Amino acid sequence: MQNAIEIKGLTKFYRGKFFRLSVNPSLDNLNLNIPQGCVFGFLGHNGAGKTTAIKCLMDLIKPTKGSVTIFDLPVDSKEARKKIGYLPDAPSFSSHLSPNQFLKTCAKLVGLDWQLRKQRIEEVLTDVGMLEYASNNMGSFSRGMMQRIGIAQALLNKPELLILDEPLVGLDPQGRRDLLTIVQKQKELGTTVFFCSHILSDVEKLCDSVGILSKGKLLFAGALNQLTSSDGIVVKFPAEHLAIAQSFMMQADSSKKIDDGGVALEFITNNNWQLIKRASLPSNVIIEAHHGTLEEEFFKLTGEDTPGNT
Amino acid sequence: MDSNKKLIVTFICCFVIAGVLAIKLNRVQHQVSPTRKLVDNLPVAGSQKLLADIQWMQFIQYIGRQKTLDKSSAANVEKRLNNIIDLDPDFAKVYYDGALVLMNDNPDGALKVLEKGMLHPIIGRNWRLYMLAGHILIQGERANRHAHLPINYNRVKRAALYFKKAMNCADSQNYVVNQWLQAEAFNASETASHLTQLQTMLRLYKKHLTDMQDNENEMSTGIFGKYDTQEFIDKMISEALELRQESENQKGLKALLDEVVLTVFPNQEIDPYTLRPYPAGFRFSPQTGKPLKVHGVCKHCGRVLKGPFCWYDGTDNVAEWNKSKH
Amino acid sequence: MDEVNAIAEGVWGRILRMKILYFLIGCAWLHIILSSQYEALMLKEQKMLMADMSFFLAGLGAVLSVLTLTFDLSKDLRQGTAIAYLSKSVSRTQYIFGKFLGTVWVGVVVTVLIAIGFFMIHNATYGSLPVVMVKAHLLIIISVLPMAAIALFFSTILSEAAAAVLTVATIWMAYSANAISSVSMLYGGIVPDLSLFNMRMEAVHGTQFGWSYIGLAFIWSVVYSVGLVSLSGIFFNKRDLG
Repeated sequence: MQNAIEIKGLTKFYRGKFFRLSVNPSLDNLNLNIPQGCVFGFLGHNGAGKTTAIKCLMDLIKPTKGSVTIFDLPVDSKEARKKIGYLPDAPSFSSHLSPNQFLKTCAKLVGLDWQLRKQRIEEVLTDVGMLEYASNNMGSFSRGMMQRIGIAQALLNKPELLILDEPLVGLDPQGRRDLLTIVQKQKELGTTVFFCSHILSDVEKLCDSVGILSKGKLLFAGALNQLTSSDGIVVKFPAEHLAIAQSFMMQADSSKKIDDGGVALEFITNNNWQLIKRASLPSNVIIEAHHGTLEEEFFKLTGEDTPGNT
Repeated sequence: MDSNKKLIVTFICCFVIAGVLAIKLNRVQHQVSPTRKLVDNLPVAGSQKLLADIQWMQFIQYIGRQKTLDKSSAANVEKRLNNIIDLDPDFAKVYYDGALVLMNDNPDGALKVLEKGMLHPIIGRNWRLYMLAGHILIQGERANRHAHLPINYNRVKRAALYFKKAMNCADSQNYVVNQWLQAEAFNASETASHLTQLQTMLRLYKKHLTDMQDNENEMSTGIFGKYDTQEFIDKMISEALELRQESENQKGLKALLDEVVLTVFPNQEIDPYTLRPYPAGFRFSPQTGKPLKVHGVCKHCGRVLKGPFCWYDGTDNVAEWNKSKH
Repeated sequence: MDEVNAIAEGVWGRILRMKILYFLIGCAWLHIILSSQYEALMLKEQKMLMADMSFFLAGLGAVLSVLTLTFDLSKDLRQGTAIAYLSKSVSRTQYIFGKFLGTVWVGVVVTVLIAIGFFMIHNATYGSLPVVMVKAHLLIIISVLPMAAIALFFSTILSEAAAAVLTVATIWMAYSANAISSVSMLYGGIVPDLSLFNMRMEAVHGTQFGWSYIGLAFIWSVVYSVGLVSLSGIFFNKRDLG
């Protein structure tokens, strides 16, 4: 199957004062292939290089080295651009225009036939819940509303590849739910979705694959379940077997109380896991595979030890 | 070809072509408007014309405020006029009207302004500029004469030259000739009297006759090409009559008057009262009623001859007929 | 070409909808009418003043129109509108060409409106207008092309304020720098020679010039503008956006 995005050796050094190249690259030899139809979450802390990578994908930034292709087409080709819908980070469109006027221009730029324009604009505005504001000037819009318009313009040409840079920022809960529904719908239509977000729980819900970037280097790229695959067991002791649980407390990596008064012990380190397996336990003691959360894996990979430092 | 390479080629070709076109346009522009090179290259984004208008308005206001012009204000006026001319050399009114303002208090300044106008390819064809320049020059020297101060004959000569240039302009008025003659007369003699003027006119008429004889097949030029010869003759005769009226007993006057009528009306019977020829058969002057010497009549019957023989009685009047025909 | 037109429409659609623009054009007309009343102050040369005023105001209108581009492009880049448009199937060169065309259209509309006002006032006050006045106004209208190209060039390489200042300075110099006209290919080739469009003195004093001059001037403006827009495209294509 053709890859939607192929990134080879992508490196970007920005220029600082007096046009000197910076010492540290914003992207360092990034290699990434994203198959068609995949929903790919691109993660990284602030300044990791996510937006730089996305801008290289959109040919908004010229890479210092490397290449990017979209559906085997060069990124600067019109054919490639016709297949892409892009939502920039924190969009702020011309304040004097209304969504109708702005989307009309976008529709002309994507080559939508004039007979279909009005209908398509109404469709996308309905999808993002902004139809009633279609004639208002965007200067009066909140950030969330602007974000919705950004999503609308990205969807205008029914893209094969949707690139979303922080799509959930500024959205209220309804807006977030709407966006998640849109992404889901696009996924069902076979659209490849590439987005970066800081809201890891949503990434976890939506994505098939993730990539984790740190200081310009790609630390992980692959299926989500590969990242959060079973790395141990969780043993849930009901309240009556607390004494047995106590005996394993020292070997457990962590413990937490559970609803029925019992306790759940996590055994992640291999040796400890094996220990539990060999032990004979009462039948009502539940043993489950332990899956790390995305957040946990993220912090492990990036080496950040402060949660919320995103 | 890579799109950037296409752009580079386009950019280079366009700039070369634009350079060539600009050279051609500049040339055409200077052909259309040769006075462009006279315009001051002030960095005013091409608004020299409007600035000239504003300065003209300010000049008028300035003049309006002055009761008289002293030395410094006269110099200021000259400077303002020069500024306007530098910004808009095609502004015809500035030269003449400006010189009029300056002529009494700063005649040299006025002359400089007029001379700038004379250099203009179109405005320089205006006879009024030369007329005024000549007038400014000669007025000054007349004032010197009146005040018994030394006369600068170079300025008088310049004045005569300007009057002559004025005469040669396409639409100049006839009175310019008077000015020229007076200037020539002034140049010839300190007194520049009517006598001198008449002598000058006679000299010029004789020169004209000589020129006509030398260039028989050519049209006459100069004042006679422009002004009808008969007009000039009438002018000379009027001058002579005026002179005779003013100073009948002046020494040399009679000889001069005789010379004038002989030159202008050779071989003709002249009415001594009007200094003009009179027709055959006239016994009395129609203007004065005074008796005239009769000519062109039959010696037998006294009738006016129409040929060498009398038409009434056939008398042979060949001699009389030959004498009176002209 | 549709993409270029769409971008251009974005520019002129915004500016030509501004009511202040028509107010300013009305003020220009008022100036022209008032200057025709200056008979006493101009010693009966008020017709000349009226014509000069209309030329000046048309020229000023052209400069102010092209200055909007210096702010427009930078604002679009800053706000994200440019990025939204450039993410569509429109190349960077097409984008800036669209901006250029939109600005040219604005400049042409402004100068034409001022010229029409002058023509009407002249007809009402002095009767029919000499053709040479129309030609001189036409030259001012054509001069919008190279001025817009200059504005575009600076706005692709500099920030708003610097682009605006340099655009005005270059236009000023291009009208005034006859000192370097002896360096023929340089002046008119690389440095624009806007004095080619300045036939105001000739028009006011009735010096005739032919339609062929206007044709040549138009060709020069098109060629020069295409060259400068191409140069702008080279820089804009290399630039990192956003």
